[in-house]
Amino acid sequence: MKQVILLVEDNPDDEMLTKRAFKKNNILNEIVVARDGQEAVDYLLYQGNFSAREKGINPQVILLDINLPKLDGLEVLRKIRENKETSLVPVVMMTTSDEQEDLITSYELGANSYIRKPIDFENFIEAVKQLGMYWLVLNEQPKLN
Amino acid sequence: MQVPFFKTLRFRLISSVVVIEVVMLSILVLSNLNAIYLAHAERLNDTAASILRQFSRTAATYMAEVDYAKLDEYSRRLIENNEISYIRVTTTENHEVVRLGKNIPNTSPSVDKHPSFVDDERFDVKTDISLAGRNLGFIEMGFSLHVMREAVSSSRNRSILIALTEIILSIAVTIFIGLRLTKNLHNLSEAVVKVGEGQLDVTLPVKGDDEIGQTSDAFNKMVEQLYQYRYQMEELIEERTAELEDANKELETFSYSVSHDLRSPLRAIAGFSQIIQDDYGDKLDEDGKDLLIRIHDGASKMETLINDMMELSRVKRKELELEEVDLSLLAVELTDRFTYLDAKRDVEIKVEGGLMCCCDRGLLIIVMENLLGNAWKYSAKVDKAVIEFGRTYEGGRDVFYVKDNGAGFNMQYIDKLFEPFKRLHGESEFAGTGVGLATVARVIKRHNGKIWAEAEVGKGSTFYFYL
Repeated sequence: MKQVILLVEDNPDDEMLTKRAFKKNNILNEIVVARDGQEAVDYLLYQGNFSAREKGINPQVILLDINLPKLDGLEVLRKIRENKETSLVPVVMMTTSDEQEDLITSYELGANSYIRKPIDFENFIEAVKQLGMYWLVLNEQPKLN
Repeated sequence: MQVPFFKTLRFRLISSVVVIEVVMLSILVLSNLNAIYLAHAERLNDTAASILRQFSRTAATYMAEVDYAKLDEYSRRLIENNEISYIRVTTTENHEVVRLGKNIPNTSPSVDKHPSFVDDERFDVKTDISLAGRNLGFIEMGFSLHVMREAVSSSRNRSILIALTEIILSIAVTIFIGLRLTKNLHNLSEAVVKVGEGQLDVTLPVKGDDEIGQTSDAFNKMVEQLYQYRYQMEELIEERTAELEDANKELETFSYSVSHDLRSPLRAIAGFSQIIQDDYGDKLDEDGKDLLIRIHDGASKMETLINDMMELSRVKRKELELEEVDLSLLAVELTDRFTYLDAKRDVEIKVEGGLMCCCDRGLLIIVMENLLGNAWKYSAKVDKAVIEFGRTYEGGRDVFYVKDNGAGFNMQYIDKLFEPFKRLHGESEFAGTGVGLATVARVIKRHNGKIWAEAEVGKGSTFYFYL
């Protein structure tokens, strides 16, 4: 079964840079991009445009930006954790802001990790490398019955 | 506030009325008594003179006839009916022919001129007995002053009784008026004290339309005005606070956007210029590569600037959490880190041990990092750099200082030192955003402290602060 990474990102530049960072690190999983919070929730809960999606398949990891149109990242995170199907999917908050409050709220809502997107691209590639290493290779996900 | 009784208006009013009454009545009574006494004395004098004249005339006849028995009988009648205490009649040969009454002096007493000059119990008088120019003898008589003195004394007692009654009456009236006046004054003074303490729900009862009533009325109006002013003031403060809160919220939203929205395009600039370098680097000549590096550096610098700005705004908003902080330890940790990161440099570090301070640890780290970082940065171009952290005393308080022997600055520009984005050195000379010292100054201000600097170009600078 092919492992999917869900990238929730509204900024096309960041989307492109993230994808490139994955490629640079030889992470070749399929990357599904949701461009706002609602789209991400629709994808995960098989709603709207994604109602026809094959059931029972959760992404291996969700990369979630905080500042998003419609539903913001923290609200999406809350919905992910509230839903039984998705409650155990690893979620990595990715954000440009370094507000302490965002960080604390993210962990309170059950985020697995929190990284601030560095401006320097080299650093960004490094951060994505660590992320892929841990969440895609090392981490063992609990199986849902 | 309790006024001692002898200082109260009531006491002063009563005591002055009593003093005035006593003095005036004493003068009145004394002058009256004197007049009464003089009148009695005058009457006695007239009576004595008239009796003496009459007696002398009658006695002359009996003396001429040498009828001493008749003279004696006449004398006895006279002494019964009058206030005469004794009668003595002598012949020219000093032969005593009549001797009547009590306490008759053995020798002739000195003659009194007037009853008011008498110094004993009697008014002694004396006259010749003469008939047709021939002297027959002398009459000596004593008039008792008892009756006169009795009259004067009863007058005096009556006067004193009347005076005392008047004094008591006027004290009673004064007390009544004083009570009313001072009670209202007391109420007013109590109310004023309450208002002074900020209690504005005080109302005085308005009684009558005298001055006290008017004052109470004016006072009530004044308190009501004050109450309204305070109410308006509170409303204004609430309004302003709400506005301020709005502004603060706006600022927070703004800084959030700055930290988020300004970083995204920066990341695009840095990221894509990096990609061009990676993917198309071999197709670029040296100039092209140099331009790409400049774009990349620009983005980095902007990131630093945004981070510094964010820190400045966070310092303003952060709640202070005060605790005892070991500044010496902080200084050692920070300088160790600088030394580790910049191992090429040989800098002498002097840190005075055990300097404690009650402050917000997070914010003081920013202060120490900036001050020591500046000292490190601006001493980079001297051969033997020395950086010092220590304490001195000024105005009875601990003043900490960070001192270096680096580039220093011209004291002429001291005003600009703690303003954001104002720099005293060119970017090519020493890198920096000009936000660091502004942040430091803001932290110090939030601790109600003070920071200042002394410097000389080429000799170094010293930053002093207390919290």
